[in-house]
Amino acid sequence: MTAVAPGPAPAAGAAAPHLLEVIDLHVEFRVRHGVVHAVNGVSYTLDEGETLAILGESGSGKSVSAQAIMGLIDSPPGYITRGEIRYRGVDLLTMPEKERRKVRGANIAMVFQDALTALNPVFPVGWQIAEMFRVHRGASRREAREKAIELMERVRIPSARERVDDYPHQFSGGMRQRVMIAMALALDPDVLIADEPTTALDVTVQAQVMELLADLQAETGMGLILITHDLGVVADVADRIAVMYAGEVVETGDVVSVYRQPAHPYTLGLMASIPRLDQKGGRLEPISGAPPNLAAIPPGCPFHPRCPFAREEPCTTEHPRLYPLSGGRASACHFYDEVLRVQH
Amino acid sequence: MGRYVIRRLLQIIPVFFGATFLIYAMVFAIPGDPIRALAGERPLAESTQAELRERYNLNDPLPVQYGKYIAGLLQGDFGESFRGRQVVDILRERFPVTVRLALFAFVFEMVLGVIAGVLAGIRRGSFMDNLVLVSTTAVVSIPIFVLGFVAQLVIGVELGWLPIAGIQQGWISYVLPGMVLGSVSLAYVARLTRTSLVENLRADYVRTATAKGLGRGRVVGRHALRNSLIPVVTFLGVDLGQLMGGAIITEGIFNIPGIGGEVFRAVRTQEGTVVVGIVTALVLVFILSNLVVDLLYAVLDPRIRYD
Amino acid sequence: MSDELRTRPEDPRAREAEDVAEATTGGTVPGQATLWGDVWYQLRRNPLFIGSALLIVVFTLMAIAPQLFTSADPRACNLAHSLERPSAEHWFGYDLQGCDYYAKVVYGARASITIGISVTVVALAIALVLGSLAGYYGGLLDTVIARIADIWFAIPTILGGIVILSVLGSRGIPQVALVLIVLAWPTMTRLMRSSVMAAKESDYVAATRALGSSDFRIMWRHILPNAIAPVIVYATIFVGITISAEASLSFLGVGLQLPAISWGLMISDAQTRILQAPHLLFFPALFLSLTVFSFILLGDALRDALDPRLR
Repeated sequence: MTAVAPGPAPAAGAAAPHLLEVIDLHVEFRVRHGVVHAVNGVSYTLDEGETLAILGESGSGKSVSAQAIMGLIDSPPGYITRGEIRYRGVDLLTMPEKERRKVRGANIAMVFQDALTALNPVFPVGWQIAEMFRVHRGASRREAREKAIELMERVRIPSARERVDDYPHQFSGGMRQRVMIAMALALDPDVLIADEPTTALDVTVQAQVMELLADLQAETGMGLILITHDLGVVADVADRIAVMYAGEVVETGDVVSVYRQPAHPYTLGLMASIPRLDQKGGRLEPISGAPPNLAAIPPGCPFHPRCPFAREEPCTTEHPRLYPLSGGRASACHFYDEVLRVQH
Repeated sequence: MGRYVIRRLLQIIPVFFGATFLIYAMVFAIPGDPIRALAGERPLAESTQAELRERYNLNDPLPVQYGKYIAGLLQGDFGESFRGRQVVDILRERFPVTVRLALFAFVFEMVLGVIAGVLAGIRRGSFMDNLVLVSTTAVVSIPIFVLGFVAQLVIGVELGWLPIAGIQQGWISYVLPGMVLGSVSLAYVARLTRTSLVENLRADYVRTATAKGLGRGRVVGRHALRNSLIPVVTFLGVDLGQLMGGAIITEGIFNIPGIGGEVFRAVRTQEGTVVVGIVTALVLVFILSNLVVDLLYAVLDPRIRYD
Repeated sequence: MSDELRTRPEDPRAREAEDVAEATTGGTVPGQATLWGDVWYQLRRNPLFIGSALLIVVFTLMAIAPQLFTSADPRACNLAHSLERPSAEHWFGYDLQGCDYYAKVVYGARASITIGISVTVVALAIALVLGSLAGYYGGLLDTVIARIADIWFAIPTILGGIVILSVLGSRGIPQVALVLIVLAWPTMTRLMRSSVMAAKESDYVAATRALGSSDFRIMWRHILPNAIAPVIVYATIFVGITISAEASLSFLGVGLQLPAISWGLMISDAQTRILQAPHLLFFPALFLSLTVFSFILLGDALRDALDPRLR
């Protein structure tokens, strides 16, 4: 199943390599008016059967880091200036393109936000799904088509056999998203990256699609990276969470602990800003200020202009690293213990 | 799809009547004597003038005139020359030549145009891209008659590679005039392909195709190109109109005995009735070809079939 | 069955309500918050724009005040000089009648530029009005305008021009310009119409409507500035196309008539003597091509600057 030979055998006593590991990734975009630092030293890991949610606002770098994993960054203007992306121990960034292309789609697959524009409008959906088999596996047209119908049934598209030759615009939003998922799952990838898969959908349809993803993951044991800005979706589905801000990971940990007791002011602010059903009346509490201009990130901690815990020293001068906490958590805040103490 | 076809067919009807009426009105309904105007400075015997007036029903009231005119058109009557030769006969005799020329120009412009456009589009900003952009702009800027003369002079006379007049030497006579005729359209096709391709390469579905692990060749050649060619196909419809105008000039310069050449000659000798007759026929062809292109467009773009 | 909700893009500037509905771009670039400001910034840096604009200025000057470029009189012809080749004192030589060819070519700019610009401006004005009305109000008005435009579209420009002009007795600049306007308005109108229709669907128009703006205000302040961009690009290129069309018609013999001075006419006259006197063809052809070229380049530069996606 894997087109990639696993890396060198780990030393005795060391853990087996993670399924996917992003190490100190830096991505920048060189544009007319400067350099945009979209990803600044991001690291996270994903293991089999695990769902990692990457949470952040627009501009936090969450999508760019995923695109870097897939190798979708156009160069120019985007450049990966530092870091490694290890799939089963092998660095994808140093792999020759021909090899990388075999991994793409077959081992690591991606689902995008807007299925209407992400699917080719002039080819039937069955054809697009079947393409995976024809190109990667050399299947015949008929075989591939049968497989496509199977997949469409697997993602619970009703009347799959009748609809296999329909075009994307003939499906509803939720169904289209399922087509994309079918396409991504075609070759049984180990890793599925879902970039805001439900943002463009109604809440009820959202729930259905997320349930589908969860079921499929349980069936196949694949690792799922869920990129989103929706806290509700994360709470439902994720095992672990990485919160991103200004191109960096500012907090990681298991979902329950992070939600119950955030260790970073940004996460704390996010949790506090959600309107809640049991909060009648009163004001909403947004995080003051605005996200930084990625072409001119302030020195020190990137969050300090908006942070209620910020002090002159060291917040404006020293860039925080990801301080490890107990229980596998980490926080990139100089004053994480204060943040933890402030709650209950 | 059926509904789309029917709708398009129905839309043709007002266009047919409107366009023919427009031409008719502009020629025969102006104040003054239309026959006199059509003849320009040509001397015409009084008897000929009277005959022609009768022939074109100019003594009838305007609506009747137009009615008889349309009836005539539908029966293939496109008028006659001052010497009594039927325009429809002229057309029948000359159209094979023009069709051959037009086909040559067409293939030339499509093949070279798409190739140039793709080469420019896949590497935007590269040398090839700029070369295509500048050369197509230059070609579009130079009027087709200048191109024709220069081609005749340089390739025909100085270099002696290709014949520059008439069709005596068989199919090779069509090469140079065909290239000249197709040149402006080639420029448009190349630019349109390029722009369309650049736009499509930026589209989300191209990113998806790449994410599926497809090779660059397949992503561009299969996914992007198919979408990119849709506007090019629609351009073909308009292009025929341009080709018709260009054919008049090209056949005139290269002395090709086709329909365009006849118009060229008739304009110079002020045979207004022939000019009007042929142009009317060409307009009808143009309307039909646009219909065909519209239907072709529906085949290519599934999204509009279900309108 | 609408099960699609789009999340709004982020944070509009919290200014007065009306401005919220306006489209702004380039928020992260300091000092360039408006579309047209950004356009000018880009254009200034484009050598093709500068080059073509300069050429156009030169040719327009030639059209308005040919005396600036030559002191000779194009109509002071002396048969003794017939068909003389270019020389140091007479850069372009003489034509068949013995007229100073350089002077003729310079004076020829007037016809081309006048026709090109006037046809485009009038057609643009018609297109602005009809296209906006058709695109904005839709319905019956739109159908009627669209059908009428369709009818015109069925007649290719050169063909229509030949037919109409061959029945006109006298063909001066006004007549030729009028005919070209009549043949040109549908294309620009249709372009304007689709542009307006696209702009009408955008969120910021819906927002303005919700704030209670009048139709006219919406069209004038919100739709027009955005819809007009592709039309302006086309109009610029169209000047070049019109100049070329006039030259073609004059070449065929149905355009401007003698004693008018037109590049098309000059080239037509040069036909029979190409081999003996190529300079008769070369110079007007060069000027004609350069003029058309510069307008098209200008249109291209404008398009590149106006297209937000191409940046």
